[in-house]
Amino acid sequence: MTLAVESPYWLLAVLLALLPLFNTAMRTNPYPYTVLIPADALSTAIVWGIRCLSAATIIALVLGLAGLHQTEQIQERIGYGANIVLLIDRSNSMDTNFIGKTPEGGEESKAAAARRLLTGFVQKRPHDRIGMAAYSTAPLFVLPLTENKPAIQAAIDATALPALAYTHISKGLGMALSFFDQTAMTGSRIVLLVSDGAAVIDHDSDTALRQLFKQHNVRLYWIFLRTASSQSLFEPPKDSRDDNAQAMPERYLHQFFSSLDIPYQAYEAENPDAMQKAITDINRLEQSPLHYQERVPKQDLSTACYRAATLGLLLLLAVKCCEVKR
Amino acid sequence: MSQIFQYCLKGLSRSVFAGKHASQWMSNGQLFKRHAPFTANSDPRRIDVRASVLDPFAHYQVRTYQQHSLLDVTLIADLSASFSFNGERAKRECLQTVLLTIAYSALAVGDYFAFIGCGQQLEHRWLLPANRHSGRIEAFATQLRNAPDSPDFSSLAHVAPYLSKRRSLVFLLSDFHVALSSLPPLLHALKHHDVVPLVLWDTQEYEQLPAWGLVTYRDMETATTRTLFMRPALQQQMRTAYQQRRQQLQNSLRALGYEPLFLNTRPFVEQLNDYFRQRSR
Repeated sequence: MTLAVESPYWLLAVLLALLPLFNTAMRTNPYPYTVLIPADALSTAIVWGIRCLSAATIIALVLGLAGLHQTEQIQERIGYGANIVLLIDRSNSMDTNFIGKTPEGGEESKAAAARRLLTGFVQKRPHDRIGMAAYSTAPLFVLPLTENKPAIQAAIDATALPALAYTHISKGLGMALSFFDQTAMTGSRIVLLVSDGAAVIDHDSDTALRQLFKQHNVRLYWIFLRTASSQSLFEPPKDSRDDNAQAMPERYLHQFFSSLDIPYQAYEAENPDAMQKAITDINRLEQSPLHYQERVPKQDLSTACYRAATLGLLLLLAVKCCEVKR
Repeated sequence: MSQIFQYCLKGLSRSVFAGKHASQWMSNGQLFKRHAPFTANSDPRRIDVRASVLDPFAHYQVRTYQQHSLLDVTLIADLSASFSFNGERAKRECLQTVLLTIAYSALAVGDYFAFIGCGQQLEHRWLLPANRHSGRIEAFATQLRNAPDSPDFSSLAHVAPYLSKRRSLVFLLSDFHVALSSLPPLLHALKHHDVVPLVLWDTQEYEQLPAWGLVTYRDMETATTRTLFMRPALQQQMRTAYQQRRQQLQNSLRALGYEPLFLNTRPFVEQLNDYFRQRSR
């Protein structure tokens, strides 16, 4: 714990705390011969108590004026969780519902369902460090890996904005993986891809991504928000002529991920409940010890100082009221 | 001041001047002392025929009687700061009352009255030489109210030159708030005299203390402060301390041959009368 003050010159006033040693601020009564007053330990103790209380009050006031605060600091914590990067698809199609139409009335768009379920997911995992990236035509950097839950919640809420244009997944994956560049190798690393479609990964990106996935030792979870009309990830096409990357980008992306030789799990979510199951699964699987550093922000202690000073002054006032008046 | 008290000297007065108090001189009086040769006391009215006839040398024998002489009465007062304490009664006013009581009692029997005010230094303005002028004494008593507070009354040790050469009656009015060990050197100058220590304490010093609460006392002489958490137990302790002090002071003064009079709230005349009545017994 490191303490600091805003204006150190005020600290010179701490010397005022010596004043109670010389004067207890009590009304004095003349007395002919104090030598005759018997020694009284309780009185002596009370006098020193009053002096210490006065000095403490003055010190508290001075520290309050000087602006005492606790500096920003980094605490090492160990929790059960993971480094999770949420990679969210922000393409147009996310704003449609699970049957590919613009949501009407009480219906929920895929983006809204993703938002609701991710909110619940984040709340259930208190110790995770979560980052967020989105992608459309270009990748969008949203939030670095952090344990700050309100920030994560705000980032998830921000996806309520209307979606953007197309789907360029390889750039998005590249950005999601870049989140781990500066992260220590503690806990498991997860990329949670939430998308409703895929795009072809070109050859250059293919090579780069393979290398990055290996390098960062990342687990990949893909929640595929499948629209009723689109193809499944797992079923081969009925017509073998359709079996190419342009016609079935999702299937080929799945095959690409499977060939990466990393822990990979794909979930096909055809409705909000299926997505819920996917998230529960991840929640259950990813519980390994995580060693992370938590950033505690600067904390102002002057309020506490003033509170202590007020308490001290009230006590001194009470003492003053106990004084004998003649 | 109508009230006066009767005082007497322990032993005989040595003043040659006729007065009210029994003296060591032989002269006219009521109490027969002895026979003296006519040449020594040539008063033919006092010739004792029987004694003259019986005298083997055939000298005339004259009866001599104890003379009553004057007595010098001196009041020495403490002008230290502690003696300006204003409690139930202001001590300085008590001093004035005592001064006038003693002075009038002395004047009433024709004795001389003198006053010595003792501070740290002896100051001439607080000395009143032996006199019998009531007006002068009253004016002095009024003036004495303005006497400044002194840190102590150590000049008591140096009062000998200002006292009568002959044995006299000395009243010493003080609160005796000094270390008991310093009393013998202080009172050394008074050893030839008949000293009556008058101890004046205020009831607020030791009797009328607050039962509960915080109180800060500042010593009037040394300015040191004592903060006390008053409670019945401490109140009782302080009373006990003063009782002990009273006992110790009495013992110390008696060891020097003086019987102290602890003044209380009764009129001073009554207390002084009682004191001398007890002493003459």
